[in-house]
Amino acid sequence: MLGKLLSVPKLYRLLRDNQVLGMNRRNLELIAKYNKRRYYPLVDDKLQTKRVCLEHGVPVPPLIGTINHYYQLNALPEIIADHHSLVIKPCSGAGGEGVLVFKKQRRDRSGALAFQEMNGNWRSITEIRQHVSNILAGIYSLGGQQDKAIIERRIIFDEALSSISYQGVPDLRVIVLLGFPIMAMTRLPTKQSGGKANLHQGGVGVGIDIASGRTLEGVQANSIVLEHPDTEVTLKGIEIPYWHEILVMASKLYEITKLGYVGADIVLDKELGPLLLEANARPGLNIQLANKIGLYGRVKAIEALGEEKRKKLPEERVMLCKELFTKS
Amino acid sequence: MKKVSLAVIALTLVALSIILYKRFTLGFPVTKKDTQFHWIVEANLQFRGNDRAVTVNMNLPRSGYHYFLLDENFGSQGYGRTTHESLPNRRSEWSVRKAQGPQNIFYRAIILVPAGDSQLIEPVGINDSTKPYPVDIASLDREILTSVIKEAFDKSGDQKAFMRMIFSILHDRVQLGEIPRIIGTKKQKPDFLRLAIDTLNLAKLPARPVHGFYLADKLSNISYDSMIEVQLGDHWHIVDLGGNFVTAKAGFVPWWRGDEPLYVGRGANGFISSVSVKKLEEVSLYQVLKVGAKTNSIFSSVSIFNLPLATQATFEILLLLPIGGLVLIVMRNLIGFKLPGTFLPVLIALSFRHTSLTWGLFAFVLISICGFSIRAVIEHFQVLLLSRVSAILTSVVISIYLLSIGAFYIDANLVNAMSPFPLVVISGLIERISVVWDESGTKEALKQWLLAIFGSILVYSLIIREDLTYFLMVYPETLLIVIAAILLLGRYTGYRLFELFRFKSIAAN
Repeated sequence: MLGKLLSVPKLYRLLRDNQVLGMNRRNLELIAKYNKRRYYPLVDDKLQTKRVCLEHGVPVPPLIGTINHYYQLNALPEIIADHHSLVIKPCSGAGGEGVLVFKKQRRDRSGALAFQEMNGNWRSITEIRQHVSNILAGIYSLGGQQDKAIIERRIIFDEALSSISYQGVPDLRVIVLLGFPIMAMTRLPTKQSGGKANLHQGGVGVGIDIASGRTLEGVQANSIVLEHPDTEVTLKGIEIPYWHEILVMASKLYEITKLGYVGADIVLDKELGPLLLEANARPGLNIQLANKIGLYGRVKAIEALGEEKRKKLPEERVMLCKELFTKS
Repeated sequence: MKKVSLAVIALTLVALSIILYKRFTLGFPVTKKDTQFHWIVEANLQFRGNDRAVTVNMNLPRSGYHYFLLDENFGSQGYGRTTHESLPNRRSEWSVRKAQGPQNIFYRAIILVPAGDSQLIEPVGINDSTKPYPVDIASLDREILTSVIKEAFDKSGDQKAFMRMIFSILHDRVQLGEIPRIIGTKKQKPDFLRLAIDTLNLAKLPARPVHGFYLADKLSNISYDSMIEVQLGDHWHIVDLGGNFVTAKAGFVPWWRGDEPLYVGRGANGFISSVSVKKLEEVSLYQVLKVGAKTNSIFSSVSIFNLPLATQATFEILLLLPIGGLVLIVMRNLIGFKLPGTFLPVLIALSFRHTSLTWGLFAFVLISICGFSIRAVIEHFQVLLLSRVSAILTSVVISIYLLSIGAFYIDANLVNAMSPFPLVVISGLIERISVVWDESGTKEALKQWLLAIFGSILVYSLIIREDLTYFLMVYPETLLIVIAAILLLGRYTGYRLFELFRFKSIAAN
């Protein structure tokens, strides 16, 4: 313990020299400075995010339906009866809480609907209805306020990443500053994370080189991993498909959300290609661990660009970033 | 950025200058130990009326260099009272046309005695009668005393030594029986006080008797003590019968001067007087305000101590809130603890202040357990959020109700302490942690709950410090410095302690 404390000044200097972005600086110099409060509702409400993304031509997972009020609960079987693979999630949820993912449906002898989750469990329509009711009550929403339930088509994820995923859907996180994609990673579900792509629940984060779209080394719970713990496939050097499109999509979020510092969560669908899952106004700092590089250096590189260069189109911004941020 | 540092500097400077001014110019105390004490001195006079007019004169204390008379109360039924100066004394006269049966006259003074061990001295001209103290000595005695004075004068170098030498020689001679006439009959106790005063006056050192009381806590039925006040240079010095200077440490409060008794009663008989002394517990209350009132400063008139007692107690808590906030900011922004709820630990810590830590923790754990159990049951009923939290609140109220009844049998005082427990906040915490429990498991929920307790204990350990509370009460402008610190911490963009370990692997790059 004492030894740990003695190394504090040294650690502090090392982090500073590596331009690591800390929580305080993120809150003060990025979120408070670039993200206006009045634009938050747009990203906190996933339905609204979906709507504006479609308006700007950014693809999102196809919507099956929404349940906004309790009286609409009766319509739930009708909405989902024709679908086998679907996702039910809270509109204002965070951290993947309250999300149900189904891959199959069946009717028992009495004709009652049931859906199968990714882990094989069957849920009766009554159970699903109860879950939606909980979503409406606001159990999973940020401040506990009443919420809406979103039902959308399940992502059938692209095989490029299937070798390094366990059960769930791997997602891509791109940090966008003033429209410039400055850092990216993919979050891989593991057995430990229960098929969720959450890093603090045991998922693996893998950095992605902005220039080439190839994966770097992975990190799990603050330690470096070279192979996926469950599939034992080497993590490094995998090429992310549609990389350029992904960066352009993320870059467009600046115009769409008007947030200067935003995290784009993107998934790769087998048929539809990259889809924007959600935008995050307070993206976390773990991406630095996955890339083993500090964010602050890249933030300063973008801020150092003149006003002229900042006014570029998304496509041009992505090209510039590919030049600036390469790690090879 | 610049604006902030300007504000920080300005706030700190303003606060510091006020504090220093109050401390060193107005003499405000810093800690309780440093403060002057105040005392209640009560004089009670009982006598029997004979259906005749009664007049009672009593000498009273007066604010001066030795102490401040903060407050006084007079009590007597049916008596008219006037107070007047009768230099060097202050005197009240109670009178009634007809008094029958047991009578009672009551006087109470609240006295503030400055701390320290300075000598009891007072400039000449403040408590002086216009007439010189009468010296009435027979010629034979005068001869003996003159020889004493001469010897003392020869054996001393300055006025003080001269005075002391007079006492010393007088003591020796009385011991040897060389001053018989003044002693009176041999069996009588020698009136050394009179002897010393006559000698001093004869030696052109003006002297007079001074009577008063020794202050010590919970003394009743005490009698007054007499000392000698002698004028050396520009000051009256109080000396004891051995000629030693009396310091404030002795706790002697001079009450009146001269040959008069404490009281003179006419028209009644069976006078019995009793005087009692008690130390006032709420030391902080009067003094700052009263000392300030004497110095007539604006800082004293805006002092919290001018408010009634109950309000002061509230303010004690209010003044501590910012300090609690400061602790939380340090914990979050400098160390990196993610405490549940913004000010929850502060509120819980404040309630610990009422209950004591042991009881507070016990109550908190018990209430939490009740709350979690009730919530687990309610969970099955599938009710909406607000109803759920309200139900938890109700269960918290019930558990506090039961706790209070239980506490009453253990210690009756605890019941009062239980009530201000921040019910709503705790209910909110229980709901929040329950959600964490459902979503992230028992480990995470337990972690959050322990963090809440940890934060509360940390804040508590700071706000129970009496010296801190007292300092804030006397110098509320310290809050400006707290704001400055909060602003500074709010602009801190460096790493949190925990982040250093979180991002360690990048540093190793």
